[in-house]
Amino acid sequence: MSGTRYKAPPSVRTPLEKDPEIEEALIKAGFDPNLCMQCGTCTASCLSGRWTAMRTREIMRKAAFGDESVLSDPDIWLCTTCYACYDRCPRDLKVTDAIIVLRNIASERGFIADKHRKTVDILHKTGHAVPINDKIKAIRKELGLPEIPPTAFAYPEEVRKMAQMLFILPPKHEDEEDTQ
Amino acid sequence: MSTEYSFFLGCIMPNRYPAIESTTRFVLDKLGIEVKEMEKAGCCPAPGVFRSFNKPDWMVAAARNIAIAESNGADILTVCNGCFGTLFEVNHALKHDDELKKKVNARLKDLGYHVEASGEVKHIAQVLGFDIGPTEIRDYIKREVALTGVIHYGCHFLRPFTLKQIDDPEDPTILEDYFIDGLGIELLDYRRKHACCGAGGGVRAAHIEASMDMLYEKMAAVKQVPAQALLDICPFCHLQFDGGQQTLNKQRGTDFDIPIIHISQITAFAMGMDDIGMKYQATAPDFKLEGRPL
Ligand code: SF4
Ligand code: SF4
Repeated sequence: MSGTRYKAPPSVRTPLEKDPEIEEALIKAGFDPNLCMQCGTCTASCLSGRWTAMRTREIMRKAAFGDESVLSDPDIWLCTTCYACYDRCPRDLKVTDAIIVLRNIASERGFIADKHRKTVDILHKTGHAVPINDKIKAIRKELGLPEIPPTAFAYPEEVRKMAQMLFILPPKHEDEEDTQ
Repeated sequence: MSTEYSFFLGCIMPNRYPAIESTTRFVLDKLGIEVKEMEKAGCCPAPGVFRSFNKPDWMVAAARNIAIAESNGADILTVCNGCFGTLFEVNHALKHDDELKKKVNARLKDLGYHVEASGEVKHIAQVLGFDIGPTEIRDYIKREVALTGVIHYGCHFLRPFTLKQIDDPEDPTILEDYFIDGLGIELLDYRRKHACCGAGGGVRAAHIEASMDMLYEKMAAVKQVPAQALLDICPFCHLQFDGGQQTLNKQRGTDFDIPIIHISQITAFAMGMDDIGMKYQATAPDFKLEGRPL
């Protein structure tokens, strides 16, 4: 998965085959594709890229060309959202926000890792991404805290309302890798 | 400085590191800051995973939390970089975009809430390190901490700089000033001090190998200096460091054993609390802090 994942060589694309949704989303996110000068400051700043096959500049180039292959590429999910590239981009492009919108489009089209889907399931069930367990309940009691925090946990009706409205994920895309 | 805050608990602190919650409450009490509970608050939601799936939904869920704080009439206080990242960004966006606020409110209505974005979102490191500051905190502490440590800022406290404008993310001093001048701690620099812990962005959730690679680089750099503990300001970084050292030791045969201490825990110790909950942590549960008279 990380480090040693080799990719197919880049294919030649005709510039006219743009996925229009990508360009529109990038501009809205503060990343004007025409302004990226491919300097590579983002890649050089990227800790994740030092350990994985993700190359931020390459993602931004493909996205700027409206190349939809960027959406199914699991590399866009290796960004830790550390914002180092965002703060350092000499053209002031909102690189991290651009990656987030690419992930949004990818999600809409069903490219979501199974493990990420699980996080959403937990949120839908409990209102939290990390739920409580018996061990923690006992520690909370020892520390003089209420066993269950007064958050959404204690209000199942609130959790249900949120689950019905938020983060309804589309079904898995047929090309999505099984990450289990 | 505000004398009352809506305390946003989030997920990892109350449900994995409750000692960070109890020490935070202790510190706020000693500072005379009143805590308003945020009844029914949920996940912030996490800026890595949930924002990545659907940013508009993420905004609505965050706005719901902000609305709960507003009904308390007190600004939000968080002790987590992730919660801070989400709540700060959404609050800021709502403050500066009336159209967006209208859209978000239209959806919030179905959940029974309304948001104004009239308040502020603060991080405990900002309240301790800046609002109170290294000089004034000495009026509240009972002892200095006799410790040689290293620090980890984490990403979403200072970045993106254009939004947060708290301190220079490339060379910040807010935590150094607080820990050294305020609490008497000796700090060491290390090579990857300003690097990410590797947990964020949903990477820890779905790409644990890559996440552990990044953590390994960080911990190997920490090991090169004689630090007794690593100080952080975020329960998610805390989980990555505390649990991740054990994962690395098991899977890669390393022998990392650095105790991880949150800013609330160490401040509570300086204010006189002896048991700051180290025994509940996965790494170095026997670690004991030493005090030094003021
Ligand atoms: S740093 Fe900015 S301008 Fe340079 S390649 Fe990356 S996105 Fe493009
Ligand atoms: S924000 Fe993402 S792409 Fe940018 S440097 Fe950090 S991990 Fe890399």
